[in-house]
Amino acid sequence: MVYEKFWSENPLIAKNKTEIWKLEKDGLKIFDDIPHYAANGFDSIPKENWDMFKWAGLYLQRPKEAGYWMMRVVIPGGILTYDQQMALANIAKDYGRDVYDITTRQAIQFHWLTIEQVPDILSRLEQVGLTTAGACGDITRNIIGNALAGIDPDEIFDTREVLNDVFEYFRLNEDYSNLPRKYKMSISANIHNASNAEINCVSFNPATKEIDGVMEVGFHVKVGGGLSSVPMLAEELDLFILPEKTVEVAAAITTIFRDFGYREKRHRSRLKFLVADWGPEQFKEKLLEYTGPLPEKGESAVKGWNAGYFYGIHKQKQDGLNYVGVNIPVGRLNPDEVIEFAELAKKYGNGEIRNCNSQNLIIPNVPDAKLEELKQESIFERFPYHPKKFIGYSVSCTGIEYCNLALVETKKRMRTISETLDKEIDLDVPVRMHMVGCPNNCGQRAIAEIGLQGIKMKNQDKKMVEAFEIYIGGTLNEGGKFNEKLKGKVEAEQLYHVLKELILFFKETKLLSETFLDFVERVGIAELQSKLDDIMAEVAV
Amino acid sequence: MNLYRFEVTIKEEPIHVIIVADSDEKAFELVDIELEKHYLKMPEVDDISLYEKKKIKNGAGFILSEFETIL
Repeated sequence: MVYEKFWSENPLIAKNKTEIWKLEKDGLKIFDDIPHYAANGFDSIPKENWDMFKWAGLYLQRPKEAGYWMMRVVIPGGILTYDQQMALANIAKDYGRDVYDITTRQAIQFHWLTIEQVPDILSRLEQVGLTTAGACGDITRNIIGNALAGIDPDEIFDTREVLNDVFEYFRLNEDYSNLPRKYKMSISANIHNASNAEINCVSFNPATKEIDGVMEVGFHVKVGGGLSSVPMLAEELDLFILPEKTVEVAAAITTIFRDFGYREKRHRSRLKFLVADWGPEQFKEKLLEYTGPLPEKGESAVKGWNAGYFYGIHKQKQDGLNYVGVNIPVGRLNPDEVIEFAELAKKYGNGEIRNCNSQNLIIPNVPDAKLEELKQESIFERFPYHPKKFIGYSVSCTGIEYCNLALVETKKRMRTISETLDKEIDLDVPVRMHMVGCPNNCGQRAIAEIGLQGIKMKNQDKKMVEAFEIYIGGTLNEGGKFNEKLKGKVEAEQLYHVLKELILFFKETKLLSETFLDFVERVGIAELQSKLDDIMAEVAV
Repeated sequence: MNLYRFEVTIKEEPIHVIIVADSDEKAFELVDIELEKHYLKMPEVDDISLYEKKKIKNGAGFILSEFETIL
């Protein structure tokens, strides 16, 4: 132990079982135990140790007693090499029942793993420089970044080295593996807020400042964002961070969270609660105690929000090179498709694939001369680089298929609804729709233009059915605004019809090029509520 | 076993109902039973909605600070 866990003296901590075992044994030590459990089977794992597996990126699927695991693999900034992509595909093929999911934090998830398979999987990951440490648990989670880092004409500098330095600093670092709760960082210099700064615990965002007569590029910092059941938007600190200071500042903020973050109650342990209590000014003063003086804020370089979407074929900042942003519907692929993408990336680019926080992917570094041939590849018929306006902008959580908390099925439903809307409605703008299966917001419902949250209800026939509530008008533009709930509960079977009618109303009433978000702000919630009431009345008849 | 958070709307008035059950179906059945126990004369129920469930363990619970149902 290289730092003092002074909270161990706090008598209130004694009531929190998770904090007690975290004091007795660091979560990362689970990696030492996995070979034993793998050799002796799932029944050899004491139930009280199940949660510790999160530090190895492993969650039990529902029902937990069946012994099947979800594994999340850390992909810093979403950048994968050819070898890494192939290793991941083969794990999904050999062990994961062909399920390969790209998450909203640019990571990868497998399902249906057994404990016996885990040592070989970890070994395969290690051979290609990947890890599951930090993918789950009370630790620094996958650090998300600009999926175009280093190739982006819209970034003020290349953040790959900075992000990797921060990742390496925290990786397997037991100084920071016992945090009060999960802890999410983002680092991006994309001027369109590609990393969703406002919903991270800590975000480093592009900024400039004149220092000693020189215009420097660096970061502004936001702290205290997060979604879950009580969403909060991050607040900006009055600081300017030079890129070379990023690791130091990230370490200082994380130390503050580790040492001053609340541990008594897990539902109040996220950084957002500390920031809400202290306020940004007090937080900044405490941070400066660790870092020494830092310059005050400069000019933000953020010009808007792209929600992590990079569809199409675009010029990179390197002359003669291009990237292709591809739609992966609700982030799900099978291993053969992953391999196909890896081979394409190798044949036409440099083998790299970039995962986006919108659950999509990018093939970078394609020379001009190879573009036309690449465009003819049949994979783009299934995974287009100019996707349609609904499936291209649909996000979904895992849902009841694998999640213990979800009340309804989400992934297949979101995909079916979006694809059907695309067949029937032609719009000039995309509509960002997010579906979640419970209030915990894993599918980031709160920032969607149309958010769909699953509930269960008894319908008129007294039958238990899946249903949804509709939220509208979420954005991370200009600091962000969470969407607002409309009155009414829509049975899952009627959801497609209700959404179609609502979107047709938008189509018929909107101005040219007006987005759904702008439309909501122009016509107002009441107008949309009135329309929804009409649609619901018609459905009820 | 799960802890369930329901909202039941009776005469356009939402009320919270918390249930312990081992399945969603059973939880809905138990809502009816709790309502029958609570009301001397069974009121007309407009709507029963399940919003959240948690695994039963020490410390599991819900804060009922506001209603989900907008009327």
